[in-house]
Amino acid sequence: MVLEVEKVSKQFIHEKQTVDAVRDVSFAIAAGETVGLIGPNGAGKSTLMRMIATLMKPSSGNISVDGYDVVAHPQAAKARMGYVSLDTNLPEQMSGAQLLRYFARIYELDAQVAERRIADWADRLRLHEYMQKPFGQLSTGNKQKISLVRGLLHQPKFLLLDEPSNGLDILALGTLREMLQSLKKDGTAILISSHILQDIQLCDRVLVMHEGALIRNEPLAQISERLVSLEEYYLKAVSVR
Amino acid sequence: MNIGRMWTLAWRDLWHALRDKRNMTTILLISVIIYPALIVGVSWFQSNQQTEALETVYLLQVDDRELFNRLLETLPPPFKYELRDGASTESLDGTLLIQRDGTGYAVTWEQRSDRNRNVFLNEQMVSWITQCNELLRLEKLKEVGVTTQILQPVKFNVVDVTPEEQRQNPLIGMLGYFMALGIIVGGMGIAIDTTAGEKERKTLLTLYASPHTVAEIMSAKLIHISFFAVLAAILNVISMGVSLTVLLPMIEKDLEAGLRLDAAVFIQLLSLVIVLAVLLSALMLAIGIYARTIKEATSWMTPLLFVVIFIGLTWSSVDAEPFSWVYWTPIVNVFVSISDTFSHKLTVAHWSITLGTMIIAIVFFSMLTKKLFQSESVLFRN
Repeated sequence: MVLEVEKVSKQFIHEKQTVDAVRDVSFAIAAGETVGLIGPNGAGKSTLMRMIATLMKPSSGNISVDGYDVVAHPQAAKARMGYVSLDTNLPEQMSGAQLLRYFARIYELDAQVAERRIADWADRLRLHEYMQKPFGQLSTGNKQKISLVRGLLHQPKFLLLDEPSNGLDILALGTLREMLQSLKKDGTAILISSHILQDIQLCDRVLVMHEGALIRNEPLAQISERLVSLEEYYLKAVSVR
Repeated sequence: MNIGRMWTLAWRDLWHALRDKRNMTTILLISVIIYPALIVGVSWFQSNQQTEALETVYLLQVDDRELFNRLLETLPPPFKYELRDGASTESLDGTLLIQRDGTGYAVTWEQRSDRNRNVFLNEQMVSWITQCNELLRLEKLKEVGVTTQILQPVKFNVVDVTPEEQRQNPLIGMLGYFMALGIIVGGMGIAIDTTAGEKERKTLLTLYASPHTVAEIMSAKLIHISFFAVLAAILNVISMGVSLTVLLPMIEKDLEAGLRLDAAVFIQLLSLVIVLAVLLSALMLAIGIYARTIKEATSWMTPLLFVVIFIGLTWSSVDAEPFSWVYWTPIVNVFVSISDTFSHKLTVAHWSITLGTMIIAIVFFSMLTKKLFQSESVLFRN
């Protein structure tokens, strides 16, 4: 398994009271598998994503990426992971090319390899004409594309996407879906957290979180077999609680 | 910690801050303007003090004109005067009434208390009346055969033996504080932008999600802020040196007393302001990372500015005892040592203690700041 989440809980102290943001969550994602994470606001999705991304430590339980515990070996886990979220914006004064070269250096990629990968992604996402412009002057869609390339530049084994289609136009959405299909074929494990149920339709499996707990973990094929739409499935899962 | 990765981040931040003309303009303008303005200001204040006392005093009533004229001849007053038959005190600085009172005189000094310059005039007036009293008393005693030697068998003379370079100079008390001000102004904007600004723009967590360690991120930010704070400190010392050696002799010779600048003074000053700049950078970094927004960071750094101004103003003019605890107290010791440097009183021991304690304080505050960088409650404060 590329991602393993075992009995993970997270408590916060809010106004002198303990709040259970995530409660005893367990699941795993295999290489080449795409998993969707859905849930209402305050369900604990962002906290879970932040714990996987090493930004927060679990109060209990273990998370490992490609066998590396995110608390004990955060650097090794981060080197095998790409994280793109609304939390991770990029400096606006730098151009797309400068940003990607900077992250290539951080990931200690060979300069020639990095240039080849940047050019390749720019071709695939039709980004060439925007690469020299300051990031702050780009459209939301192009910003999101560059953020995605930033998360993929080091060819991670595991990709963590939070609201990936945010701000993308129809054309860019199509490209994103193609990209995810291609990564899936290459064996990349992907976890997508989204409010947009269409994003989840790309997934092999759906996780539903509610009030900090994981209340559903089902293959999308099974849901489709029951001829239930994803929207119906989600509303039913949340209302049952 | 991967030093190469840390430098990549520090250089990225530095490069963009250097390209922003506002940062360099602020540092250069503050350094270039502050010292000439300080010298002109102190010089103006001093000359103003002397001229203020020359305001006209109106003598409304003098009963014994003969006596008064004699006093004016033998003991001229340190103020201008004009005899008037009567006038309202509304438009005047003060009026003097000298009336006969039995065998002596009653002197009434009417003055307006809502004018600051009257403080100096009042001092001059009291001093003059005291001298007049002394003169008249001695004359009366002489008439009955009592001499000055009988009245004052012990003569008391006060002689100032302070060497020229150690004379009290109002500028010395201000220079350290202005240097600290220059350092904070140079580093504050950068500190806010690189911490609370990155939080607000949501670019800080991108670094945390990358292979950077917390130590790398914190160190790169400290180098970034320190670079500008140290640059501001060095420019301040250069500007101060040029102003004191070139501008001061042209404007106010009196202010040169006790100010001797040579290579040793510059080396001591540079070492002191550099450690002060790095420590203030660590403090600004801690405040900046704790703040949620640029606005919050700005309002929290303002008290830091006031604390440093307060320490600077309080301790720059203190004559510290050798082995005093002040040399062991970070920040305070820099201001005392800067003041000692100008007076050529800073010993090698005090200089070493000051630098040593400041370096320990830098390490301590850097470790504290690292804790803040690691804290989830700080990174995700709502």
